[in-house]
Amino acid sequence: MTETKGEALRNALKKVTAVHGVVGAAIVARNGLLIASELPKDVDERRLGAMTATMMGAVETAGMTLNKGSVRRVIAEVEHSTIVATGAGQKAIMVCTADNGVNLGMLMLEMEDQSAQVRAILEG
Amino acid sequence: MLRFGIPTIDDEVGWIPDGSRILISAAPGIDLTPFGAHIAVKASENGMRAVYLTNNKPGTAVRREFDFLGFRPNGDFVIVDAFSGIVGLPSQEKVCVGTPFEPASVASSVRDASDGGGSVVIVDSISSMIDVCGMSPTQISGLVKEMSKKSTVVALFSNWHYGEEITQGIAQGFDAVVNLWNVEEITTMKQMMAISNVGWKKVRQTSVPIKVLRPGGLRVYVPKILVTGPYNAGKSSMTRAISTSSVSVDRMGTTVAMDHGYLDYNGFATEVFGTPGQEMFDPLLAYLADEAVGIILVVDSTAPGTFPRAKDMLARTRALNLPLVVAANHSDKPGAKPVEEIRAELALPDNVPILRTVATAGSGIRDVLDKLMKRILEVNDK
Ligand SMILES: Nc1nc2c(ncn2[C@@H]2O[C@H](COP(=O)(O)OP(=O)(O)O)[C@@H](O)[C@H]2O)c(=O)[nH]1
Ligand SMILES: [Mg+2]
Repeated sequence: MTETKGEALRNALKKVTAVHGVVGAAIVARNGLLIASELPKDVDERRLGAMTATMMGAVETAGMTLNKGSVRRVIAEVEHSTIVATGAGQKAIMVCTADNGVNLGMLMLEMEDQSAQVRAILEG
Repeated sequence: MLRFGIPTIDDEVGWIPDGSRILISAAPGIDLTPFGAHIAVKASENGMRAVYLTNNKPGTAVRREFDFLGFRPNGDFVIVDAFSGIVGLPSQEKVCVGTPFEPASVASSVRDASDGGGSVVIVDSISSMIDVCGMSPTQISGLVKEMSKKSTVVALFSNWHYGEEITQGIAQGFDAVVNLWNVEEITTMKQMMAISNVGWKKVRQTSVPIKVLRPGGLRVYVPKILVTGPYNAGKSSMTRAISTSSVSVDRMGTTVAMDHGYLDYNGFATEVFGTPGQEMFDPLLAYLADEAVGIILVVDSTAPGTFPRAKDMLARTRALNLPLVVAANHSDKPGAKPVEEIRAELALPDNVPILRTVATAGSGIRDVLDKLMKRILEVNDK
C-alpha cells in the first residue's frame, strides 16, 4: 500500500529528528495550524505550531519592511533550546527544536533537504 | 436509550431506539477503538450497560485505550473477550468466548454479559469476524440480529477493500450506517463522519468533521476560530474566557504576537487564535485569519471611537464572508452603546448576532459560542 500524506510527512520529519541533538520537529501551515509532528509527548505541539507561524510571519514582515527579500530561516536561541524554522513551500513551515549544542550546519542542511521534500509532498 | 453524543449527528438522528443495529464503517487506516470507547461511555452516561466484544485485541488493550482517552465508564461495563480464544492464550477477562469462530458461541457469551437487557453491545470488530473467524456476511447478520434482541448493537467495521458484495451484505444487517473517511487538502487532513440508511427516522445527509481528543474523546472539529477587534476591546480576556487553556504573548499589557487557546465546548473542539489590535501588527492579521472557520469580533461598547477600526479589521480578516458574531464587550460599564447603535456604526447586516458580554467576568460568553457554532454548522451544511 502507498503511504499516506501524513506518513510521508512524518518520514521527512524523522530524517530531521535523526540529526544528533535534535529533540523534535513539526510541519505547520503558515496560518498556524499543525500539519504533522514528531515532537516529544510533553510538548504542546499545536501551540508551538501557532507561535512558529507568528514568528515566521513577523520576520517575513520585518524582511519586507527592510526591503531585503524573503525569509530563509529563523533561528531562536532560548535558554535551554535552539529553535530553527524554515519555509517549506508556499503554505507551510518546518520547525525543529534542538539542544543548544546541536551542529547547526548539519541541522540546516538536513532541514533544507527535508523541507524541499515536504514542499513536494504538500504541493506535488 | 442511546445517543451518539456528537452535535449535528444527534440533531439529525436523535435518540436511538433500543435494539437498533448500527454499523460504523471506516476507510482503511482509521483507528476505530476510540469510536467504540466513545459509544461505551455514552451508553454508561445514559444508564445503560456497555458490553464490549473484542476479537482483535486483548481486553487490557481496550482498557488502555479508555485510559488514554480519559474515559471512565461509570455504569456497568463488561468486556467480552473473543480474542484470547482466537490466539490461544488464557483470558484475563471474566467473560470469555469459548469458540470465537462460531456465531452461536459468541452470541451466547454476549447474551450472558448483557443479562437483563438495556445494554449496548459494541462489536470490535466485524472485520476480524470476516478475516480471522471466516464468518460470512449472512452469519454475521444473523449474529448481530441475535444480539439485538436484548441490546442495541454498534459494530465497528474497517472496510479493507472487501468489495461491493461483502460490504453490501454486511450493511444489510444494520438499521443505520455511519461512515468515516479521511479528507486531505494541501495543509489539512481531517476525518469526516456521516450517517445514512437510518431505518427509524428520515434524516438529511449531513457530514461533520470530527476529531479524537486525547484525553476527551470524539468531538466535532472546527479547526480555527479567530478573535479579533481593536486595541483594549477585550480580545485576550475573551480568548481566556472561552478557552480551557490559553496563552497570550503580551508585552507591557498588550498582545504583540497572538493569543492562543483550546476550546472544548458542547461536543466541539477548536483552536482559538487571538489577534493583536494595534495597526502596526496588521501584517500578522492575514496569517492569523487564514483558514479561520468563524470569527468573534470584540468591541468595547463604551468606546465608539474604536468602531471605525473594528470595521477596518472586519475587512482585513474577511469576516463578513464567514460565520461572524460580535461581542459588545465592556457592557458592565456606564456609557455602553446599545446593540443597534453598534450595528449601525459597523454597518453589519441584521443576521450578524451582536451580543453583550463582560469578558473579564465571563458573562455572555456561552451565548457567543452557541451562536457562533450554530452559524458555523449552517455554513458547513451547504
Ligand atoms: N470592565 C470590563 N473590563 C474589561 C472587559 N473586558 C476586558 N476588560 C479589561 O480591559 C483591559 C483590556 O483587555 P484585554 O483583554 O487585554 O484587551 P485586548 O487588547 O483586546 O486583548 C484589561 O484591563 C481587561 O481587564 C469587560 O467586559 N469589562
Ligand atoms: Mg490582547
